[in-house]
Amino acid sequence: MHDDPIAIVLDDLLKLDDILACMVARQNMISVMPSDGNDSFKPEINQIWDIIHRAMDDVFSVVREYSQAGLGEMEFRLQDYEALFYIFPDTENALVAIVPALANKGLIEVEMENARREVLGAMNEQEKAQLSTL
Amino acid sequence: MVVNKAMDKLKLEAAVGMSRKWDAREAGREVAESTLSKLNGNPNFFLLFSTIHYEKHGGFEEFLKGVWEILPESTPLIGGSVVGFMNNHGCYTRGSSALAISYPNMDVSIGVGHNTKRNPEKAAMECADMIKNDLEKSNYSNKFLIDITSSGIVPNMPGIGRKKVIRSKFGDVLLKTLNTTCKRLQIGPGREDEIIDILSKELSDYDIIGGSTLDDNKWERNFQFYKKEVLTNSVIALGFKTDLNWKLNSTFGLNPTGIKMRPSKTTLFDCAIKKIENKPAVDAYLEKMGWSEDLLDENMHRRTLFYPICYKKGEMLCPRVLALVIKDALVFTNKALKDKDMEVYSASGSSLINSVKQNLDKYEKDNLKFGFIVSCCARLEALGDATFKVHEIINNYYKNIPFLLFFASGEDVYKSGKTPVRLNESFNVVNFYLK
Repeated sequence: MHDDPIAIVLDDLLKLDDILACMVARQNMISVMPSDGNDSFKPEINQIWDIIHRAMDDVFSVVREYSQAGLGEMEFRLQDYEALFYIFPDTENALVAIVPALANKGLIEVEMENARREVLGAMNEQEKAQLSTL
Repeated sequence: MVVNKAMDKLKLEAAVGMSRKWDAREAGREVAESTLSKLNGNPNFFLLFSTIHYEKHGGFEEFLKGVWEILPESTPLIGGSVVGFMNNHGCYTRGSSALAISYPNMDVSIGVGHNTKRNPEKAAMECADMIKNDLEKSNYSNKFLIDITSSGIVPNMPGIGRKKVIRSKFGDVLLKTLNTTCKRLQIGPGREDEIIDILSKELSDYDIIGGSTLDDNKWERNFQFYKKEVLTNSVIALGFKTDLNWKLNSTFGLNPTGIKMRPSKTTLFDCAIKKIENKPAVDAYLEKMGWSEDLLDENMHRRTLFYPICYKKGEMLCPRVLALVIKDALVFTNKALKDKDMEVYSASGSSLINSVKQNLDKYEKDNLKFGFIVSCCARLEALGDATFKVHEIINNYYKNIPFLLFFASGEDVYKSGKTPVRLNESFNVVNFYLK
């Protein structure tokens, strides 16, 4: 897990103060977590994680429906938190981050976009490696 | 002689490097290495910007130690903590980036002034004097200055914290207290308007571009880099005389709304408007905007990014972004105007992005060697990840010509002989040419 380049991207994101939790996920499935799993999530997320996780799954049904149509980003606010979804083009997967509702979101969005690009790069590399072994 | 001069001109090298490492020392080393590896000669100066994150990952002293492990001793270095930056590689709100120039036909000096919130005039004078004296004997006639100042600090009040809206009676007390604590504890407005006024007066034949250092837009702390020192509450500047030419241009992407207001009472070094047309400022503002009181929540700052209140100074528009609401007062990070009309302007994502293209369209590209850009952090906060569209425009313009943009918490512009301005929400480009 520690060598997974996508997990390393998530580790980097999670070091930012205002990123409380992050993952690469799709409906009903978290595909990649940071290297230390959800242990590395900020403790304040624990109290709301169950309800946010359920809400995320519902949002993923929209992602699945509209990703092919060019859906790029989604977000929702639940209590004092926001969930940001950066969708990987033409897939049902998204980079998801939970941030405080009052965070300076503009700054976070820049690093979310950098992370999305890095994850896409890593996915493409993994795909190439798989093809070369065929 | 002419031949020698032509040969010298061939030797201009500009380089931009960066690091995304987390460890302060390693990042310092990498940002210096990646910059200097693109230069053949020694750098004339090293402009260094970093996001606040290294404070918790080794500290800025370690960060600078890393830089100085690579940077030749006595290279003039200035810089500071910034909200974010852009360069030929991308757009970031975490990491560090640097711009270095190697060019024989350039004399360089750096200056510093301390305690900017206590006595901005003295700090600016100290800084200007160092540069003026140092470059007095230089024979080059073109003079340029980059200034970097310490931005304001939002006070952390017991029992209240760092709230952006305080409508209780305590607000009045707080506002009065801030007038004195600003000088004593150096908390509150950065007083950069006063600094640029002095710098432009003392160095009137220089063109100036600059901006303020900040953290991650929380307005809690900020740092300036000067040689090997990490400073707070300081103004630092890099001045040079050279045979290079440049063009400096500012754009905004703001449109007048026709909503005008005349502040009739100001306080806090004119950064807070207490009354508009003799009515409590907040009530008058809400009435003119057609907004209800419940819009005054902790998200108000993000909303008003799109509605800055502006005035004209000389030919230049001076936008002011609302920072805090304290009791009846609208508090800005820089000076408002008393007894003169201010007007609410509006911005949209597309107008902010288009203004970047409008700015760059003014420049010719022949003989362009490097670009330096100061953009307001309010634009970054307003655009979020649409900032990558801005990067695309800038990158398409510069292509492989080095450029560095830093997001400042307020920008300074002065063109020799014109009126100096302290700006918010602006996009300012200086392009350097070898002609």
